[in-house]
This record gives sequence, C-alpha cells and structure tokens, in this order.
Amino acid sequence: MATASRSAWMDAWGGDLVPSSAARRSAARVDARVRSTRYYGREATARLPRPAPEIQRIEALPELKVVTRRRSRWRILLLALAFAGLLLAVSVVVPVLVNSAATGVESAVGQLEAERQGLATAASVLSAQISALSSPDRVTEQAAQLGLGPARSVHYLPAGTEKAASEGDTTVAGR
Amino acid sequence: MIANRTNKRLALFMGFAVVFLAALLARAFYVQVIAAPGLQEKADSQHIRTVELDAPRGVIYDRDGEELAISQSMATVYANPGQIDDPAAVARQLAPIVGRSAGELLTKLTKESGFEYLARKIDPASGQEIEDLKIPGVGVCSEDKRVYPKGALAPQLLGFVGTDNEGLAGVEKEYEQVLAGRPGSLQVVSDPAGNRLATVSVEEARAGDSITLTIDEDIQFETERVLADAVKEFQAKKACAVVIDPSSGEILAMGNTPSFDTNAFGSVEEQHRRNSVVTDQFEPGSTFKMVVTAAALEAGLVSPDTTFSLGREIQVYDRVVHESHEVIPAVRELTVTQILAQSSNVGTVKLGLEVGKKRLVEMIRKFGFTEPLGIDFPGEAAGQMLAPEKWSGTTIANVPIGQGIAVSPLQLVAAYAAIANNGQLVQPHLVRDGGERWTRRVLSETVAAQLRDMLTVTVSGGTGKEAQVKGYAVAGKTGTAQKVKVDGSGYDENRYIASFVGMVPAGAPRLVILVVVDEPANAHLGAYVAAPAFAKIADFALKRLGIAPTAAE
Repeated sequence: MATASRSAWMDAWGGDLVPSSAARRSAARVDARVRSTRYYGREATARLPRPAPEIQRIEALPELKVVTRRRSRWRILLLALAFAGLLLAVSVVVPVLVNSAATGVESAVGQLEAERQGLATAASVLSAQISALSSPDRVTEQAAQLGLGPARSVHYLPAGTEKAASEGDTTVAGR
Repeated sequence: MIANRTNKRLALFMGFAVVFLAALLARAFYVQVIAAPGLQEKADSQHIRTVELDAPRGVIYDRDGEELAISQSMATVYANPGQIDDPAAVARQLAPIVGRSAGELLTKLTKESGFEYLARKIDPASGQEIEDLKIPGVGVCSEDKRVYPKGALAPQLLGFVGTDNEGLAGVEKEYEQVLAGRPGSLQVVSDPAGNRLATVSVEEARAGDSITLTIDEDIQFETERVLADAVKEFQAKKACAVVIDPSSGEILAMGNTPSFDTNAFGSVEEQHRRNSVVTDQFEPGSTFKMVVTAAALEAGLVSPDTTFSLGREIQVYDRVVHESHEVIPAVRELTVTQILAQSSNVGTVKLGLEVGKKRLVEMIRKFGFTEPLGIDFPGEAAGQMLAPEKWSGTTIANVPIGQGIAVSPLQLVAAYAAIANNGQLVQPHLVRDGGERWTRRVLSETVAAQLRDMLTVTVSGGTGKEAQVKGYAVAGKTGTAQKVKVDGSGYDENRYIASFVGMVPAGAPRLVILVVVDEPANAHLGAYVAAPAFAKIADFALKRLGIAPTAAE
C-alpha cells in the first residue's frame, strides 16, 4: 500500500519538476530499489536524491518508510478478555472449588472421628468387661462352681539326699 | 440563565453524592477496622465451636499388668433449655432412658440457662438412644469415667476420682499429676446443623501416663478374703493387713476390711474408705517388744541366751506391770529369747530398764516409728511418741511393751522388714519404678539374724504357734493391745487390738506380713485372732510367688 502511494507521489513529482540528469539517475536507483524491494518482499527505505537548488524544498519532504501491514486490534482485545476471564476463574472459581473440597474432607474427617470415638468407647467397654471377668473374685466363684479350690491338706515330699543321677547312670525309656 | 441553574443543580447533586460516598467510606472504615474485632468475635461465636478433647486418665496396673483402674468412655446428656419448645414432653421422653425422674429433668429443662447437664457418664447405649431421638436442644457427648473392673479389690488403696476425674483419695490422688494428663481442645467451623466444615485450631490432648503398682492382684485378693473371714469369725470391728517384700520395700498387698466396691465409693461411710495401714496408728502392744530387745542386743547388754530371773510382776515407780498369762510360777528364769517367745511383760520391762531411755528412744527413731516413712500414699501417719524430755518415771515401763506409743501398721511392718532384710530398712512403696528409694541401716546383720532366730522360736514354741505355715519356717511376734478408753482415762478392759507380724521363710525371709484385727468380740489375743490369718495369707503368698518350702513334712 505504501509502495503504491510512493509511486503515485513519484509520478506527480516527475510531472511538476524537470529533474537533472543526476536526479533522474537517483530516481532510477530509487525506483530500482523499490522494485527490488517489491520483488523480494523485504522492507526497504528509499532515500530521495538530493535535488537541484530549485528543488531544495523537496529535501524537506518527510522521509518515507516501507512498513509491514498492522494486525487488527480485535485480536488483542480477544486475548485481553481471555486473560481476564482466566484471572477471574483463578481468583473466584478455584477458591470455591478448593473450599468445597476442603469442606467435604472436613466432613469426612468429622465422621471418621465420630466413628473412632464410637469404636474407642466400645473398646473401653470391652476392656472393662475383660478385666471384670478375669477378676480373682469371679475366678474363685467360677472355680468353686466347678468344684475347684485350695487343697485342704498339703504334704511336701522331702527331696532325696542321694546324689542325682548323672548322664549315663540310668536307662531312660525312649533313648 | 437556564444553563446557570442546571450547573447549580449538578453541583448540588455532586455534593450530595460526595457526602454520601464519604459517609459510606467512613462506615466501611468503622466496620472493617474499628469494629472489626468485636464483629469477628460475634461471627465466630455463631459458627465456630470449641470441642473439648478429653485426656484419658492413665491406667493403674498391678505388678503383673492386670488392670485395676481404667477409663471408659461414657455418654453425657446436656441440653440448652432455651431451644426446647416443650420441656415437659422432653423430660418424659428422656426420663426412662437416663434413669431419672421426669420432674427432676423438667426442673433442669426449665432453667434460665444456656447449658444444663441432664445426666453425666451414663451407659453409651443409652446415649446413642438419646442421640437417635434427635431432640432439638438436647445433645450427647462422651466423657471418660473411671472404672475399677475388679470391683471390691483394694478400694482403700486405689482410692477414687471425682466427677471431673480428679483423684480424691489413695493412689489416684497421690499420682494425680502422672495419671491425669492434659485435656486439649479443637476449634471447628460448623454449619447450623452442627456438621464440621473446617478446623480452626487444634490443641492435642495429652493422655495420662499409666502406673504399675507393686501390688499382686491375687495376694491382695486373698489377703482381703482372709481378713473378711477373720472379721466375721471374731466379730471384729475392722481389720487390716499388709504384705511386703523386705529386700525391695515393695508392698505386695495392703488390705482393709470392711471392703467395698470402688465403683460405688459414694455410698460408703468415710471411715471405711480409709487405708488404715497407712493413715491410722495404734498402740502396738507386744509386737513392739522386738524394739527393746533389738536395742539391748545392739548395745551388747544381753545375748539371746542371757537369763533373767522374773517374778509375776514388776513395779516401776507407781506403775505395776503384770504378766498377761494367768498361770505362771512366782519366780522363773527366762532367757531373752524366751522373754520374747513367751511375750513376757515383766521380762521386757526389765530389758527396758537395762537399755535405758536414751538407747530405747534412739532405737525407736532408727526403726522409723517417729516419722512418716514417705510411702507414696497420701495421709501417712507419722507415729506418736512422747518427747523424751517429757517421759515420766513409768514411761520406761510402758513403751517397751508397746503402750504409750502409737505406730502405724506400715511402720510396724517396715521395722520387721528391716530385721528380715539383715538390719537394712528399705523405704516401702506402692508404685514400681517410682524413683530412687532410700535405705538405711537400723541394726547390725548379727543382731538382725539373732532377732530372726528368736522370733522363729516365738512361732515354733512360743505364743505364735498359730502362725505356723506347713513346710516353711516362720518368725514372728504376736501382739495384744488394750485400746485406750474413749474418754482417755486409761485402758479399756474389753476393747483390744489383736495383731501378728511375721516373716517367712524365717531363714531368708521373702515376705513380711502384718495382720491387725480391731476389737475382736469373741477372742482378743493376737495369737488366736491374727496369727491364723497371717498363716493363711503367708501360705497363699508363698505358693503364689513360687517360693520353695524350707521344711519338708
């Protein structure tokens, strides 16, 4: 687009002035560079040839550049909106989700603790029952029901005064 | 003109808007900054609740790891009367479950209060039943209750705890710091239904430490059983006994009768809750004769075979001391061993006169009769002896025969344990691994051995024959002490304390046992009332501990 404008401007410029031979050569070089730029699709800057004293004011004309085509703004806007949406999601939705998950976990922990408490209670009741059932009082009572009790008369046998048999002195069944 | 008016209106509107915004900002600042702490507190109080975390009380074990006292989770029912619409209906609904009258519950439910206990530490099943009713304003939480699964085993020794699980007596009180632990708390955010949403803070509860007693459950049981039989047989007021390992000072049994179920201590008279072995003191009578004998032997004044010529009575100033035996010759020759074996009052007073006040007082102090022994049990009696400078002329005739001096059963058994332990007194104690125990020498090993031999004669051929245990040599001493009259005017002729203290096997004692029977009605001599009980306890304990017989039969 810029190159086309420049060509028009160059044509106008060529119509109003009578360029010197040097200026024409310069213009030809510029033209060649422009064409070259077009051909290779690269940026290029055309420098204007220094005009003759009559065309000194031409030098005051703005410097021209060849620039690439700008991207459209709606894409940037779309990106910004997407980013803002993401931020919103991160700052609002994620905490809600985390809180929701944490509440669920807490609730589960609470239920588990209640369950643990219940089991501990049951265990302590059973422990007390075991201790009570193994109390000497009850054992004595149960033994008495079975006809068991301390011996009324105890006799101790004296240990022999003879020397105990040593290995090989006796024949032991099964050896 | 019109444009000017419009501008003024706009300015006015803007002014109002600015003022309004400023007011809003000021209010926001007040709410967010100045009043924030108070408002936060109010908000927290609505959705944050603090849950008490119970610290389970430590278990009390016997020496073999049997549980004597444990904590059990029970249900406690509470209510917020302000949230209950129909208190009468709720009271009627709960009464049969908690085992209280509807009227009693109604009184609580109609109180101007935000919190009322309806029933504490009830059966967990009943608590669950109430929870299932889902009555608004009524809640159930768990609380630990102290339970003594062995029932009536060693109640005076174990003691008991109050409603808030603080030790009130016995070992429970002595080791409160160890057993109690430290309760914790949990702050949680909850929804209106009480469901937990988040945990704000946690302070973990620290469970109490458990302790292991030196008590042997079986020996304790047998000791209490024998005591109960003795009290019943002799229609005594009460009795106590203690079994101690003389070499370690560990107490294997400490029984008192009448006994009671520790779980129902509230319904028992205060006097029966006392552990008489430690907290009470009595005039020991003849069991104290060992002390003057030890002093005489230790001072080298006599030997076990030194002979004294004794009459039926002896006068010391205005006091005449008689023999307690009815049939005795007018004059008789008795060795020191025989004096002890036959429990001669006259001979013992003669020994006391030989020993003198200074040596006797010194020996009494060395045996630990004038100060607490520092047993790990609350309320230990210190013993009572008249200050030496206040002794009258007749005191030297009273103290050697165990009158005019008061000792605790624990002090008496510890003194005999010193004799059993070759003259070394070891601090008696009830808890294993409870720290360093002191020991001190009371007698020389020689004198301790002489005393053991003399006390063996007392059982084999003296007053203590009833204390013999089949298969084992026993050393010991009987005691029969008159009780002081209630008004303090001398001794009562009808009220006695019968006792026997002995050690077994006599050659190398493993056990020292004391039995004290208070006010036996149909017999009063220690030889007949307490000695048989000693024999029964010793027989059981020897077999229980697997101590081999020393004398075959």
